[in-house]
Amino acid sequence: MNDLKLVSKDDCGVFAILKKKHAKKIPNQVAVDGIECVRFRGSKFGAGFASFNLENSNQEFLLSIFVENESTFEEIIDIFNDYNFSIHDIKSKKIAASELSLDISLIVKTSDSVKLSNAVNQINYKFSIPEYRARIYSSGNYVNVYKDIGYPSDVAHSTGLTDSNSSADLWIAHTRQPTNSPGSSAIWCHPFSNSNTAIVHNGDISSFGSNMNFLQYRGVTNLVGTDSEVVAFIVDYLARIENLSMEDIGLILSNPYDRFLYRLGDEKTTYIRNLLYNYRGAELDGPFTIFIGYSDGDDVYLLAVIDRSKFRPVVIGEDEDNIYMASEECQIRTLSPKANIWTPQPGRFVLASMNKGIIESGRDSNIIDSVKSSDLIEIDSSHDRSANIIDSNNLSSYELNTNIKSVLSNGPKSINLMNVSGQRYLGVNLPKNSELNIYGTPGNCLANFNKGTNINVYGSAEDNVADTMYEGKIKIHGNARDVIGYALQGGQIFVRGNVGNRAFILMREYEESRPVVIVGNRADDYFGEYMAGGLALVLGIDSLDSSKSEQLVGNFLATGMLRGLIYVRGKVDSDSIGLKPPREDIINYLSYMNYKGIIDDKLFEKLSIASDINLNILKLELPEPAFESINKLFSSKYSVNLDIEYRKLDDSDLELLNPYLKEFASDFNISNDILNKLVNSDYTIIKSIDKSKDSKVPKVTVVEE
Amino acid sequence: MSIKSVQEVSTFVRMPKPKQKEFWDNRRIEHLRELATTGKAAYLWENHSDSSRILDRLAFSAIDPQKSNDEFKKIHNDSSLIKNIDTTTKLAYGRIGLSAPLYLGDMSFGALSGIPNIALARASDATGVINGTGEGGLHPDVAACKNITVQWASGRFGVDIDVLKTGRGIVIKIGQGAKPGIGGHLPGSKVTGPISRARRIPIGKDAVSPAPHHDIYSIEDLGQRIWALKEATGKPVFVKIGCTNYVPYIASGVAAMGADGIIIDGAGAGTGAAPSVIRDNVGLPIDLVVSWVDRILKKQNLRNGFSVIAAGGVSNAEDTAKLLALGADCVSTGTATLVGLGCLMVHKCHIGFCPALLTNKLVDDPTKVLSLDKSVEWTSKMIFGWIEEFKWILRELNLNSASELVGRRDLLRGYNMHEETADILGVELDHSSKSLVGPQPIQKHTSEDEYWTPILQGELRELSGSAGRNPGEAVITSMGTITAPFVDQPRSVCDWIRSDGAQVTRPSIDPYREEIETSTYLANGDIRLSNPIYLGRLNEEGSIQNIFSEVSSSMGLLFNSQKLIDESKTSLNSSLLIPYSEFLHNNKSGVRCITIDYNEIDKIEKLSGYDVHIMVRFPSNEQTIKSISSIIDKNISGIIVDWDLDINNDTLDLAICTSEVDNILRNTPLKTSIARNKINLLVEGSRIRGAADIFKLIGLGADAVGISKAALLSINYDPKKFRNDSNESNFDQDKTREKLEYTILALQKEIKLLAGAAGISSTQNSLLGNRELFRSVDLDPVIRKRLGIKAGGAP
Repeated sequence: MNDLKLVSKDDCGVFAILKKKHAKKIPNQVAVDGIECVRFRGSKFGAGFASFNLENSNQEFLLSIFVENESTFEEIIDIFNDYNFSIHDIKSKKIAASELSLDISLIVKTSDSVKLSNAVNQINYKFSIPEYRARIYSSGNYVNVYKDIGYPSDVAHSTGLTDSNSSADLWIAHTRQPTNSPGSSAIWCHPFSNSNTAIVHNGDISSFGSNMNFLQYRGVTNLVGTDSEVVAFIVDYLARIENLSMEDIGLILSNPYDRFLYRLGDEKTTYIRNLLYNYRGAELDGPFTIFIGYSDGDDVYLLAVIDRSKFRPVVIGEDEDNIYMASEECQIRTLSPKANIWTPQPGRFVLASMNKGIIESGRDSNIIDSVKSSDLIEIDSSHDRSANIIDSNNLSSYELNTNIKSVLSNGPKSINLMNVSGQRYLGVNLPKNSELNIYGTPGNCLANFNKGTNINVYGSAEDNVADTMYEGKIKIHGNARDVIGYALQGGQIFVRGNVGNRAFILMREYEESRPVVIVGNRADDYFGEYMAGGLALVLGIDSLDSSKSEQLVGNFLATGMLRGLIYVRGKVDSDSIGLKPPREDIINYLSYMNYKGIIDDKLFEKLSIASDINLNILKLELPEPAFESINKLFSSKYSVNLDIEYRKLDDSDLELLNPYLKEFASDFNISNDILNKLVNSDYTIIKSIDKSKDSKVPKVTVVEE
Repeated sequence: MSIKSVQEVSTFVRMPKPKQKEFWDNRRIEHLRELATTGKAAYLWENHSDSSRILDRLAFSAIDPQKSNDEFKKIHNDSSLIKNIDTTTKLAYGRIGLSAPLYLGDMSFGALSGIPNIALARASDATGVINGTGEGGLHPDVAACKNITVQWASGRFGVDIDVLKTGRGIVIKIGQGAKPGIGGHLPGSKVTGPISRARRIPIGKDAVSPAPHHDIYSIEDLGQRIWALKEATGKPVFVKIGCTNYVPYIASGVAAMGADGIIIDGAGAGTGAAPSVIRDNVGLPIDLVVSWVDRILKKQNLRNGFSVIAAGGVSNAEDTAKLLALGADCVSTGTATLVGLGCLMVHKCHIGFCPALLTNKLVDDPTKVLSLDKSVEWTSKMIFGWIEEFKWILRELNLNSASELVGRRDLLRGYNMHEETADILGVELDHSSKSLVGPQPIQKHTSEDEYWTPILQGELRELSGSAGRNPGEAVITSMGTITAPFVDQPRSVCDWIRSDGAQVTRPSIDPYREEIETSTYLANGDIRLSNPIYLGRLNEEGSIQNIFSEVSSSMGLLFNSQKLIDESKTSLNSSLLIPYSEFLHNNKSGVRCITIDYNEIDKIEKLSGYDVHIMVRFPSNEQTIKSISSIIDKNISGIIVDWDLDINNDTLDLAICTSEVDNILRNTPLKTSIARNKINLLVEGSRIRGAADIFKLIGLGADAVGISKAALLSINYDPKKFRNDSNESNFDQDKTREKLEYTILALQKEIKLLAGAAGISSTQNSLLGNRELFRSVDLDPVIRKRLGIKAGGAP
């Protein structure tokens, strides 16, 4: 068998910008700025750009080749001549990479794209054995790739992008942080391109071996050995050979959870299941955010696929002229301060095209409006911003943090940070009772280990706010992204807008220290996972008057929750709470019990068509021994039974919540009218049932350390 | 108020006779006890003639162990001979200085019962080595010591900014050798007053540490955490990982991200509790990877000053010397320090019972405690003795200092290993030595009795609840290792295959709280299995057949039955695979799957009028591999490779046959698709032992794996009782059926643990044929290539 070759595994920063139909083409400097803004996500080991332009002739293909020297290039030309291709406009330059440092571009005129594709495959295969001597890294008629070793701005220079004055309908860009770094050759840099597909990727594909099989056994053997490149080839195969729509490709790659498909209705479920079964091996697993550019000659598409758990950061932005996709919000804000910016839901894809604009937003349509954040940011006019100002513009995280500490050590208790754009570790290790007012977009790891600093963010925060915070108060006027309040052990976090995935996981209380968190709008998956204490509220303020009922949290709410209290306004589907066995497995077991005569046909029928089969319903409906028997599908020694209620707040709830709600309202100028509506709404209230009191659960005897 | 007398224990408990082959055997244990008692060097070289660990198959070529030991006996009292040998070691770009390359590995206050924690920390201060304190905060007496590191782990227990600033460095714990990709769970019953205070969690409440750090899903995320900790404390930061497929890459990433060192914990490392399916199948031994870690770091100019700390089964000064020669700066040892405190290897840490009082539940009013003074003395003496032996070894090697030994692979020779393995280690192979395990290991060479070891049978019974107290759960074990191929003899090719643990570049997944899909679609999506498992053919007659078919129905599986069980029951029949003859002669209500033997394929035509899926049974042998392509264009839905069919001298290990058949199916184009898309591959046999075999066979290309004998063993099947229908009651049948259901659920949990550890969230989509997840350990390269997997340790 062929040995699989996985040479490089990358983690990185990514960026894409697509113009809308009416808008002007996007100059290359915009792409450079959009990725250079997060150069700290990457390294000197490589960066790259791809541009798409629709009006190229469909008979002219632009080939870009890394090659070791002129004589090897002659060999390549000989192969093209064997195919009788006419070759034009050969241009050659030296790039920064120390291997395959000759970067040659040429135009092939042909009407036979299949023959060209065969030639490219043949050349790439031939010059990869035993060592790379050349590599055609781009071969489409609408796409142009620029990549090299170096940071994004270096690569823009070394590849001639900066000097080219080029503009495009779509740019995708990448800065690379290789885990293994054959940092000597640019062939491992992103974007990876095949025909009219180009992709940039942040993450690590755990299904790599299966994906390689999918390609190898369909005749694709000339891969350089990165999980990212595999994706480019799969997309090209599905689009060009299988003629699948970009929507279907988005579905296959993002590989939605089977257990939630039924919500889409029978027809759609069957369609998706068949699609996934027929293309099994093409589905991606592991953490990934991938931006894919593609053109079929009629339109230019930008597709973002996001893994099921949304392990990698991604934000989508839109303004009058452009659609943006980026790793971090600061990248978009740099270019378009007023853009609408939202996070896609886990396991979804986002699709846009030049002619149609946003086709799939990556969020359920009825909730997208409450996620857009640009209107949320109202700078508190009463706040005194004249004293102790630091202008963060062009300061690195280190420089800004050093400045903050030096100002605070001279006496003042409060600082205003202006123009913050992605700087990390703000509010870490500051004196107790100091105050930071942050204007702009603070970067990851804000207020980590916080023990008594108060922080106000006039804007949105990024990932991992307040990890292991013990004391202090964080107020965020916009949104916060993923993993806010990880292992939060005290203090308060108030977010006016939304929070992303895995908010407040492992939040806990100890003795008098009890954290309180309030989310003004909504939250995504795994809210309160492993929660072990404290109080968490999700209010949905901006959808309070909406006629459509919307669920304010994503899936897997309170999974593994041990202690504490969660209030979510409105009804949360019990399928979205915790982790249950798949519906089919439950029905299977019921069907067996029906066969054995343990339950009658009528009861079986009733349960098997119920929209929601959960443990409470089974307990209610099944005879005791039958329940005991089926319960084994649900229980494990680690499972915790949750007490879930849906009701109005009672007096004891109000006594607990009122002070915090009033404080929240006052912090964010929320009217009494809204406050009253919140207080009078129905809530889903979740707390854990003390395991020690439930004799049915097997005794726990295991310690894992 | 009565004053209870507390007994202080200050003697070692005599070692019991071992029941099985263990890595920590009496010889290793007695040696460490001797060091702990005398504080002096005992001997230099072990006799490794019966050991299969790779480190034990390495030797310093200049040294004749027997002669060297004899010489040592004569001169060991003359300490002047070693007084100029320098064992001092600098870590973290010179910021931490140690008296010797010894790190007493990361065992938490909670996993250990307090006294051992204090003993390790005080002994580290006394001897000048360093103690990693594990997750869960610091015992106040440990916090008072200087030579400690503080651990930042996924649960964040017991750490705040002040604790983080306490030690000489911070260890970000990503993974551990005994269970890469698996989290931790301290049950409420162990959270007593002192633990509660250190961890800042209420008494009696569970403490869960997630499998991954949920802020670290990639190398740049790790960099972010390293710099956040440095911004907060200014301390050196180490990263501790389990030893998995991409360790050399991860080490270079960790160094590039600004960490000061890496602790690599190999398979075979100790643990307070781990699922045995993980301990026995996930991760690589440390000896296999250190060399490439050293080489890759050097190649990328990241080695100078960056510390490589090797852990996992480090048992003495000889191991220390070999690991340094392979490329480590320092070794970490956890289990050895417990052995020096009296550990007896009873593997009961996880139930809080410890005869040596090391890992027992910490209560406020114990009747017996370990003597603290004695413990500090034992540990200190063990370290002094260890260092002295190490000095003698350096002297034997004509070296003046420990640092001179680092990376001296040229001093080592490999014995009894494949050339490929010696290349990975970067050492010369002694060609005169024979391969230890033989070139063609297959399941049939092992007798039934040898194959189904008592431990294996015991673990199977635990799955169903026939033994133990947790039916339907993964089997948990603790401390030490008995795993093939490092300790025990491999019994099938699967034993040479190790699965990946996801860490740093991608997160592992917690199967108890997060979704891992095991549902499996067969026959063009027509048949859904709840798991990639089915029940294989039985030789047994009688009601056991009923039980298998019922469990197959209730649990959403298939049962490869020889006959219809209850002809009229459609719902039951739909979960059966039955022979074509049985199908043609009976009521067919509900039957969806038919089997035909490979020598009867002309019968396929007879079935052409029926709406059924045809599965063709083949034996596991070379002939099957040769003939499979000839039936691909027939109207069939699947191929069953059955180990029990036509067993003879040509029978081939299932792993090899599975991988080859999958490969052929994938390489055969059909008119509209490739053969593999249309034809499922089922693999079954009486030699499939459990979740790990199932998981590996799927990774090698099987859609679903059928178990038979393992299922019978799990329910403690007694043929005498079952063969005659009249002798058993419905009650017994129900009980047995329940047990078998629990077995399936437990296997599912174990498969999910393996998948989650590897960062796989769907078995059908991401595991099927994903050979990249696997690495072999010194497996014959011919077999390795037939499996299409890489050799472990190579980058």
